[in-house]
Amino acid sequence: MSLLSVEDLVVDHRSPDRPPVRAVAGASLTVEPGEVVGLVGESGCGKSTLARAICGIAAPTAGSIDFEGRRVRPLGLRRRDPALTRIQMVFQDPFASLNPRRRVGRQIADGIRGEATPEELLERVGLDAGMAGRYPHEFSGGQRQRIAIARALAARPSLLIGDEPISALDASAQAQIAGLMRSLAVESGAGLLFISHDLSVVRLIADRIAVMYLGKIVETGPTAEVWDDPRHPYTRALLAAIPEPDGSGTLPAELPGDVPDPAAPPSGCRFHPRCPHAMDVCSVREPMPRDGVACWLYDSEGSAAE
Amino acid sequence: MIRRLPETWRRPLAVTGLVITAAWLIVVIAAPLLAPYDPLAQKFPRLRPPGGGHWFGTDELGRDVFSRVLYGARLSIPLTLLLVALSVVIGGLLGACAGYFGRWVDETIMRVADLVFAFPTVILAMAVAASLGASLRNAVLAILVVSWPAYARVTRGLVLGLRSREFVLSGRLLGFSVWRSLRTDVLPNVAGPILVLATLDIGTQLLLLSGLSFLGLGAKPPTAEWGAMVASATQVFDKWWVGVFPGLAILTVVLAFNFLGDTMRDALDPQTARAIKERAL
Amino acid sequence: MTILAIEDLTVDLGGRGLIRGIDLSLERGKVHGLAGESGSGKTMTGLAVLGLLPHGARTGGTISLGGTDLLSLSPKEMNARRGREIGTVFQDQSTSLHPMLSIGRQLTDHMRHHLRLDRAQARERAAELLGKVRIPDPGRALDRYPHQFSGGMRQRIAIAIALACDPQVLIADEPTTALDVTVQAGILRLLRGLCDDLGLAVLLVTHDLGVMSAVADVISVMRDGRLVETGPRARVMRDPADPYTRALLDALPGRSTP
Repeated sequence: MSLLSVEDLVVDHRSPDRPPVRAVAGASLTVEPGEVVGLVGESGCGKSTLARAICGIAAPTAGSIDFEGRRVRPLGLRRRDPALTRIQMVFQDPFASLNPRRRVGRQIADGIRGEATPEELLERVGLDAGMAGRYPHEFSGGQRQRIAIARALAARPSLLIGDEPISALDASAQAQIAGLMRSLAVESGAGLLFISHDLSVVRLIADRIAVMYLGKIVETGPTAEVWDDPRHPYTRALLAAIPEPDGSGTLPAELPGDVPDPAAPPSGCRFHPRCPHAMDVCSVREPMPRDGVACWLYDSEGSAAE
Repeated sequence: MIRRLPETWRRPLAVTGLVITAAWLIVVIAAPLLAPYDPLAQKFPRLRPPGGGHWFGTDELGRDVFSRVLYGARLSIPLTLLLVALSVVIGGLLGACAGYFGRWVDETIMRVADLVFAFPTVILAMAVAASLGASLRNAVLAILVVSWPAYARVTRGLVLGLRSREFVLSGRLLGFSVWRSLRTDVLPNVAGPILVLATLDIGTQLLLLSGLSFLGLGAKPPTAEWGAMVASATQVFDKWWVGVFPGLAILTVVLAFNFLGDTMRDALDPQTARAIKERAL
Repeated sequence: MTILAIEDLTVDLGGRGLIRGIDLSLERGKVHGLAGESGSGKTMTGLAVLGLLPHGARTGGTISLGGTDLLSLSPKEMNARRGREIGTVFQDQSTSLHPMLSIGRQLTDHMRHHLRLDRAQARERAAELLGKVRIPDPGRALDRYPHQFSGGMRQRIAIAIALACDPQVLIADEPTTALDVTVQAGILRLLRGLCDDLGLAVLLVTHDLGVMSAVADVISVMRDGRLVETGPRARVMRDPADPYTRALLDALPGRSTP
């Protein structure tokens, strides 16, 4: 039984005066204990919505989310089921992650189960225990993110989710914080779902990668494999677009076109309008994930239709 | 002493506000010691202009205006502060619930608030005061009825913004109940803007209170209340000192609290505070 | 050929030295990358060239463009030069475009002011510019509003506006940092192409060394207001002379693992 098992999840965004937009259009994902899964994708792909649905902040429209064998219910007016407090999240904005009016030690103490102390937790995230009495505004962005991690860790989560936890930090802090999250999760046997648009960092810390495009997961696999041999055309385009800091002056490859409006996705495979290998079947039927990739190029059923 | 104040409080506006407020607070506390005569004593020559033993002259019933103005402070200022405090608490709590719980709670509270907003403030206050019976206590109640919705609306807006802020969400994920979330995360963070609003509102409430008394719906004679004093002074217009001094008292208190409110708003708003500091460099 | 030369530039604000004596030159048809962490002074350098330093900043040294020292100009004179001879592209395209004016207006107002064109000429030129930055259907795009375009498109529009009056210099401050990587690739190709075709002298300020590597011809590294290293791109990135540069490169994810 996986730690986290998401199946065919559909999440709609509702806004007043407009029809609901399908941010996640059927995504499936698993995370095992002690495993780091990197969820990557560009703006509008739905990765944040997926993260929020997993921890219950956003309500799913269809599909299931199972954590340690039990169904995850969205957060409502009732207190969170104690079993579900073992899912914790670290958010993107370090300046909104902490209550500006309370001392950080108190905020960390909120989550503590058992005998840990805020001071111990501060040290585990690489901060000085003496800082427990300070207020959030006295810390830098990177430090605040460490405090947010400490607060999440206090609850001894078995699943830690990071929703773009490093995007708002300085380049030098990014790799450090990502590495910290990985080591803290792995050493406590927890699973880590790390969401980011920055592939280079995800490559460093993730055991497996899942690539999302327009509400769907298009490819999953062990990090090294996906990196060295990307199968889905979108994954290939994504990797080819990363400028390598090798001093060669090579311009990264461009992916023509724009991301379609999630309210009006293309028919069939959502990537087909921009795909260099699009076939007839691609605009007609959506490919199902098979062996970690959802693409007609690898699906004999599709090519049999040729 | 001025040097010890933070930067935003050192400006002329702020200092003026602080000085006047402090002066009036001293009056509120020490009126019996400062007033030369009993405010209700009708034993002096009537309608004497300022001079002799009467700095502000005497009124139409032979009472010392200066003493009455000082004692009036003891009534108006604490009452106004109480009024504002109650409006904040009632309006703030209702608004916070509306913002946090949403749906029918929000609908109900805001529609009642809309009902109050639909009427001109003074007229509604007059109507409520009149129907309850003219007395200072009822005037306070009436003003409370017309004032809480503004706080409810502002608090609701602030809470709506905070409700989806990350630290609030993470509290819920850690197992906070909605009440704990409201108490620990939401309310302390709306306090700042509400405080500014309340301070700026003190002047308005004082005017409203004095206004109701002026119209005969508040303090009853022979109480020394500024609004009522101005009202009775209208009978003796040419004896300017009877009405002008209570009027000036109202003016200075309202101005002082307005200055304070403005300064507090500048101090609490990070952008403005920074701009002021930079200008001073 | 040197178009813009910065010599011994110093910028002080409130007693703090933000830039402490740097030399930098922008050549025709070349991209000069300015790298560094936040607080290094790299953005301040771009602002100094543009005459947009914060209130109260004091400057020293010279910034020469076409024989004039930009630092000696009055605000009014600098205004005239800024749009005309120096174009700018900032990071946040959601705030650098006016949300309530059509993009045609934003392009033509600018041009008519500096180049004295009439409505029709300006509109024609605006459509041409949009074509150059590869906005599809330029004629109709002119009448649309910024919110109707994606982030990448808006940045292209911002580039078009920057180039509207045929400037010699382009200052780009983190132009792709807020964009997705696939969109960024398109903008980088565009910038390089425009630099080569139009012979622009480009100052590219960014902390992203990957971007630097793809587009820059020369790289300068700043730290605490000083230049620690300047040199050709390949040399600086493969064989840095300064330990700080080396440290920056080593801190890149994946760099320390061969």
